[in-house]
Amino acid sequence: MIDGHRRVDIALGFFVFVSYLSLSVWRGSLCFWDWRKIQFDSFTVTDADQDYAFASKNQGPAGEAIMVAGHPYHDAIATHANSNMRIHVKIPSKRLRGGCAYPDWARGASIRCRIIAGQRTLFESEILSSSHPLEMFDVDIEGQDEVNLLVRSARDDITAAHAVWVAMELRN
Amino acid sequence: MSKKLTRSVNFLNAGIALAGFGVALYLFYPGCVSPDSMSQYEQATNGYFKDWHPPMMAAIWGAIDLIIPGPLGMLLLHLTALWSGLFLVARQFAERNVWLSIFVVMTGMMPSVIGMEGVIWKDISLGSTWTLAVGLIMAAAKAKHHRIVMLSAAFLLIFYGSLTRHNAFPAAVPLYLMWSTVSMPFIGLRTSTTRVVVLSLVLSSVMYGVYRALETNALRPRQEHIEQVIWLDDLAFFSHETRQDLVPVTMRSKSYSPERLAKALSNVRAADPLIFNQDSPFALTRDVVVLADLRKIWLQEVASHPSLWWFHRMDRFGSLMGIGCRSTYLNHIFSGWTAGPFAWHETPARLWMKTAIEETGYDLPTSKGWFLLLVVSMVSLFAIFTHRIVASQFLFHLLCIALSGLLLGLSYLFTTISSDFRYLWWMAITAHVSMGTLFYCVQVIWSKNHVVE
Repeated sequence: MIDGHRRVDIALGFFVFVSYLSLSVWRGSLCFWDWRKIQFDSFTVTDADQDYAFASKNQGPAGEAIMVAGHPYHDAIATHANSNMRIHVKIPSKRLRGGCAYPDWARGASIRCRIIAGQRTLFESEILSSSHPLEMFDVDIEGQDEVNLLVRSARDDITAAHAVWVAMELRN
Repeated sequence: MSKKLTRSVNFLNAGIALAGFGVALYLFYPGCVSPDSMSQYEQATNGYFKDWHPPMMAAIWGAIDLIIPGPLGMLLLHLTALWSGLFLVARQFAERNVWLSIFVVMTGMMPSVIGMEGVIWKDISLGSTWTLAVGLIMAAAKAKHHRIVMLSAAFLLIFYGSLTRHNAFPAAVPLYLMWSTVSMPFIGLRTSTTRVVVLSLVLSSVMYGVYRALETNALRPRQEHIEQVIWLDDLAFFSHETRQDLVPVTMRSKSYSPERLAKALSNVRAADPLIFNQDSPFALTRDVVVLADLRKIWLQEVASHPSLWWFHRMDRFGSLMGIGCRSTYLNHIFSGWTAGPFAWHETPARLWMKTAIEETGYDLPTSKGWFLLLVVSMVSLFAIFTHRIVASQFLFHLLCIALSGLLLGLSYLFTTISSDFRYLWWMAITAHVSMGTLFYCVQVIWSKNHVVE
């Protein structure tokens, strides 16, 4: 027979366990330190360093919807210059495709995007501002399990130098 | 002491703890955020950790932030842990001395404690979680029920606290010691001094291993190599004293010059002018080759000039303890944090409270590092030498609390580069509890009540 005090212990443990499990299901990982990481099906962002605000998935730093030239995107990473983002490729792949742009919610700055793997520069965009459409890339990443996505302000200061990486997918 | 009186005192202490919680919550709402806290918050919200600040704290903050956005969640966590912990410790005093129990619960109101308890810092995380851990262990020692819950929670809290500072592991050993004395009989193991000491040392080592494994395999923070600031600080001093340029060229910034080093070294808050200011003479690095070079030079210089190194370390430690210089105390706590998304909002009542805390604190010995160090050292020695006279598990627990504060304080001898009073927050709590311990020991010896509980 379980006494009343033991029942309280069990109930408390059960409550903590169920709460944790619910949060894990909601955030898609059993490890609570992964709950805030940006994850996609085929890659994970393993490091994101930027000079202003935080990298975020599918929304701008103030919760803005990701739009480029009036078109909405639902598989994007919003960032801000100057940013270095490292992505880990979950499945070995030959090519990385996607686009980068200056998002619709920002005004007045210009940026340049770059993709680096190891010591090689795989892609370098034009100088992008609000008048530019999405710039697409399709680069060879065979043998690489880590790729660096860089965004730099094209001016002296970083004010309003937002950027988005959108529709990125791995291809063989 | 009658059970009725003990119960009344416990009610009074609970009231004081609730009031203290309320005052701190009002004063700091929604949580004071310094540039360091902001850096941790950034990591908490994007999930990419750096090891300059504790990644585990950022990970927990990130999880809490999902439910209570901003610093409020961490503020509530810290205040709840601190005040409930103080209440639990005071509860153990209540059976022995009413005034001492009130004195202990009032620890959280002491200017050097309340002045910082609402700032979301790793030091506050360490102090508040360890306060709750010791409270739970002391409660578990007396409890008839829920011991497994209390001891499990205490263990996790000790472990978490030890992750919050690079130099916290030595200070966790006495707490594991305290935990072992209560847990061993509970799981059916016979206790003896040797067994308890061995178990706590094994536990500390194993948990350190767990922490390293967790960091390497799970949290994976970006390595910032914080140890380089200590090496640079020491080398800057050697360079200044021996009139040589010992800092590797790769780690010099554009502002580097012997004059700049001398100016920075003369400031007791060395960390900021020497390392973090825009015109810092150093360029910090993450390049392991450069760091290996720096370490090699540092080791050579320490081996060549051990007395000079010791003098410099003592000087830094003395500054932190407020010896030979004006204490940095609380004057920077709220200033400069009035901008940004989590700015501290000034209201007449809050300003009055802030001023009262600061003004009272300046004149109190408990706001001086040397006094806190003296108290925890005295209690540690006193308890060790009188353990045969005042032999009780209660006193042993109080000794562990004092030892923990002492070890954390002493670890700064080798690690501090600035005289930031927040480093001493845990020592301030332990010193205040230790003053209660001292009075208790005197009371027991005076009344010749040489009890073995």
